[in-house]
Amino acid sequence: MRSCRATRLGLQIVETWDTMGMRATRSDDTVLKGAFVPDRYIARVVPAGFAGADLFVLGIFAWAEPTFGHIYAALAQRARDLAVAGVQQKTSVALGGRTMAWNPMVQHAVAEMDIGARRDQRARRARRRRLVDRREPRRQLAGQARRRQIPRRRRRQARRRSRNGCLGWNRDVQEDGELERLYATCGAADFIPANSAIAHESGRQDGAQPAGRERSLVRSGPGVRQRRALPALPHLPAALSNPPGAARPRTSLRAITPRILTAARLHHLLASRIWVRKRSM
Amino acid sequence: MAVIDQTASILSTDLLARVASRAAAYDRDNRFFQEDFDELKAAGYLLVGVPKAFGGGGLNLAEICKLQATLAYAAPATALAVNMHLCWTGIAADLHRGGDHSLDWLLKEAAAGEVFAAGHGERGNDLPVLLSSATAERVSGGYRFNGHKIFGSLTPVWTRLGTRMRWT
Repeated sequence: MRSCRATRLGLQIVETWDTMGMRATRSDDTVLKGAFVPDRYIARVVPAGFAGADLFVLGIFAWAEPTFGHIYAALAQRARDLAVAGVQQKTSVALGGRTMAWNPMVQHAVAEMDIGARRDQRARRARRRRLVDRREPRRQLAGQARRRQIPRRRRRQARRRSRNGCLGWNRDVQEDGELERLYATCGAADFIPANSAIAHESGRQDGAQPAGRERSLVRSGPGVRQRRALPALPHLPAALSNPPGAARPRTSLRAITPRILTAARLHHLLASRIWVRKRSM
Repeated sequence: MAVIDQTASILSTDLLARVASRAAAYDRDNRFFQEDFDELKAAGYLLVGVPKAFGGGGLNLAEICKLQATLAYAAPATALAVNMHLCWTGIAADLHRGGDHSLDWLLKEAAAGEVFAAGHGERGNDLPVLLSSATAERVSGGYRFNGHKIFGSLTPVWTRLGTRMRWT
């Protein structure tokens, strides 16, 4: 498994990008046909799968997931702001000419959006604090980010905000249909290759536990012992000399999975407690 | 929390307003955000994660998250696509700060104006990054890559593709 830089030679861009959202990104296909990459641009040669998840590989997740999460959170916030602005302009016949802001269900929907937004802000603030101040091991943070819990939740919130945020009520006060565009944009996120099922599917691939029985992976098993035996980063040129089929380092999916699942469970626990507290208020 | 808010200095209100005003047309025409990209590049946004020693902004992950949220509020697609480049430079910067200089070449090239895209997505690969359906063949002085990558973003402008292959 390699991470590398490719040259333009032996490379073809196929314009396939015509999607329901995120259209401006132009994420067309790239076909590599014998593209030559010199050794000096080979960043890593590592075993496939979690066995090769060194700090560089996990750094990809550690950077991608929080930044994606913040992008979708901002999208949700924009949808909320558009909804609030829209219902203050749109008038209601049923309410005797008052604006839709007086509609109880609209007020309830906006309150739900704000509750969700505050919960998101707390989660993001906590994550940034851990990233910057407490200097937790990046490997662990990457495992947490890998779960994509926050990005998925934000996408759900964005959709809910678009839906609850008076999509139809805004249409006639918003000329460019921005809210609808945001709705399609966040909906497109469901079609990206990576998703929150990866952590659980990884557990099944490891063969240690069937799906839904991850708890025992966290509490006991070889993964707990092996967490202390994570390998050093395979730097060049030593890594390049590692031929296919060579002995794998003493780490495996079992070493990583408990952290991912623990983080996922903590997220669920935290979210449920917040929800119970809100319901009891 | 030691998070520096550099939003004002890099993403000015005027720039964000222009970016927001173009978003609808990009989406309607299914067109790359070229004008946004040119403005962001001129403002130094592509270098925010590059260490100062390499001529960049030296921002860390938490600071870039805040910047990206600000940009995404104006234009989500623009922020998402630029994110690919920022992630590569951020990872290289983290390794550099940790004493691993194996990706310093990436930081130097980013500072020189190269644009990095992410070639992780593959059809039929539900464990991207960690596994790959594309292949690499060892040849003299390097490797020959064969594969089909999807969801790369920035295709009209990227000059470097960070991707992964399975050594066969």
